[in-house]
Amino acid sequence: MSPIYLALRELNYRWKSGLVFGLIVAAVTGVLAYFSINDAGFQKEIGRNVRDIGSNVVILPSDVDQYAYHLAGGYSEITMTSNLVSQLIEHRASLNHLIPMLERRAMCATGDHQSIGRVVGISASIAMPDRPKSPMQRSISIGELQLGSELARKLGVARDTKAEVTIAGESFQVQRVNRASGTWQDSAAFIDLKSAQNLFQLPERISRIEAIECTSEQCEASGLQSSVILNNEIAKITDEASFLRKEGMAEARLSVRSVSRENFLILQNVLWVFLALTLLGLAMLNSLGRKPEIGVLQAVGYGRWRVASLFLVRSMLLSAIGAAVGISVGMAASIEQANRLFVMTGQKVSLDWNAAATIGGVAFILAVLGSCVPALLAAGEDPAHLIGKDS
Amino acid sequence: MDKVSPLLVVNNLGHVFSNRGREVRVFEGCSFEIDPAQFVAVQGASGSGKTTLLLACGGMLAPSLGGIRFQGSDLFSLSSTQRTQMRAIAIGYLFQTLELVPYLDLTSNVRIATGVSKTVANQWLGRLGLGDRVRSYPGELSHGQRQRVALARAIAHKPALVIADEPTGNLDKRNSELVFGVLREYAQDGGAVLMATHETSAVTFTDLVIDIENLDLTRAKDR
Repeated sequence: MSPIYLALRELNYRWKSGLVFGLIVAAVTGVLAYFSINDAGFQKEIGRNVRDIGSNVVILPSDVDQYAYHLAGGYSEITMTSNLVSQLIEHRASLNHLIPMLERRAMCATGDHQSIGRVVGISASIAMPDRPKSPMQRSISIGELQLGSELARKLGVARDTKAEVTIAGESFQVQRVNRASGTWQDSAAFIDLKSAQNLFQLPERISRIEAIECTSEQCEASGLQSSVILNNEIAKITDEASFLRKEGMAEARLSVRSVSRENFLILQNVLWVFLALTLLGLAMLNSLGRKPEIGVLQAVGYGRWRVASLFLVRSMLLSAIGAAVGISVGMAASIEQANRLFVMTGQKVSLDWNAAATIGGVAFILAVLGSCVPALLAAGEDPAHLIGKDS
Repeated sequence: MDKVSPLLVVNNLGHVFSNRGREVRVFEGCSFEIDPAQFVAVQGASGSGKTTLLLACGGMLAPSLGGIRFQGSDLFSLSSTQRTQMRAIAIGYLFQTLELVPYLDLTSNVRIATGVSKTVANQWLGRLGLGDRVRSYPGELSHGQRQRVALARAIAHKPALVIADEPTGNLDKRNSELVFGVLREYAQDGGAVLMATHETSAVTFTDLVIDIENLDLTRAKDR
């Protein structure tokens, strides 16, 4: 009589116990799958929020007097070569979202208004080749301009109206008036970097590069502080530039990321331990509770492995079905929830087949071990020690 | 006429088990032989070690003292796998606690013994008065009926030795005689039977009675 037939008969007879086993496997694997998808969405959302806070590193020409720079509200007319951007990329500096800028104070005019504004030529953010990200700053079309809210007020340009602004004799179509940000950007006009370099006759020159540091892994590996790592990297590339780190912003960014990651790791580990203990416990209970049956099968000539195969088939079947149901429901619920909770990034959260395979695989192995090992051990005893023993 | 080689040789067997650190001697110095086609009963009071003796003879419990040879092999010198294979082919065991598999119908319960076809299983069940219950489950039967299913399982694969521990413990006189009759016939057909029983009427069916308390071997025909 085949072990599969016996296992199926047993499952049919003890369907309630099989159902409980399957449901518990489904519940635990479902929760794990839910949190693995949820964490991916959470990390995406955190990344987006942190990115939107803005750059936390500014690379300036080394000649800039930082006292004067800060005194002027973060403004300097000293420039450096725009090649530095390529050099940073080439040397895989621990940065991302590089935004080179060139700025000058210049007279901006509309038909009947004029005002000095901070005219900023800005490039689209440039991602490191091995760290592709959605752009933090999109490009501004040539001939167009984005106005800060206060400068727009000075120039008499209202939101959602068409206007033209002249800077140093060149006309730019207002693409949009930005919402007030509470920073110097409210008194600035943003144009394309190349246009600014032509406008101010400073080809291939930039005032600064804003960027986001990506040093957390190196900090963990080397134990060095982020500023030390960046200083060393930039010193190796050029002596024409130095960098400023916006400490509060940078630390907050690191902290949010690491706290969320560590929090999930703890949760994940707790769930894995729970999954392991639950499956091992359930499978062992089933095997130990059926000791007399093991004894009878041995008495009629079933060897250890043949006896264990009954329990193996049962666990394989139940854990496979339970895990398939649990993972499917957990992932579907997590994606549905991600769409509601993570408004901007929810759509990007998708099924994680690697996580599904890992969770399903581990659940399967644990269930098999939990049932097979006690059955094998019991089948190694003399049948007389098993017969007539209630669970 | 040549003497037939004994099927089972029990030599100076004894068993001791530990109960809360105290050694309990169940029996000792037990020696006997069973030939093919011989029906042997073991008698003795409760707790005298009948079940332990039968378990040892069935290769399911290693005795503390002495040895058992079955079909010429020292039963407990064999590996666990070899003993299992030997049980599968040559020994049929009826447990006092019956130990039927609750999720199998009667036919399948008999068929878990090695190499038993559905037809053979049903024939044995029919012979033991359960022909109309072959699709029933053990839970639907009385204790006496379950006892007969356990006997069918022990006997259906035609083992060289059938060991039956109290096979009529809960049966009425008519069914007890049916069971003893089946075992007697099995012995007449060439199979050996070793049975533990309290029933004195069993003596009329057996060839040899072993009083485990006095280790007295009495040939039934000498009575």
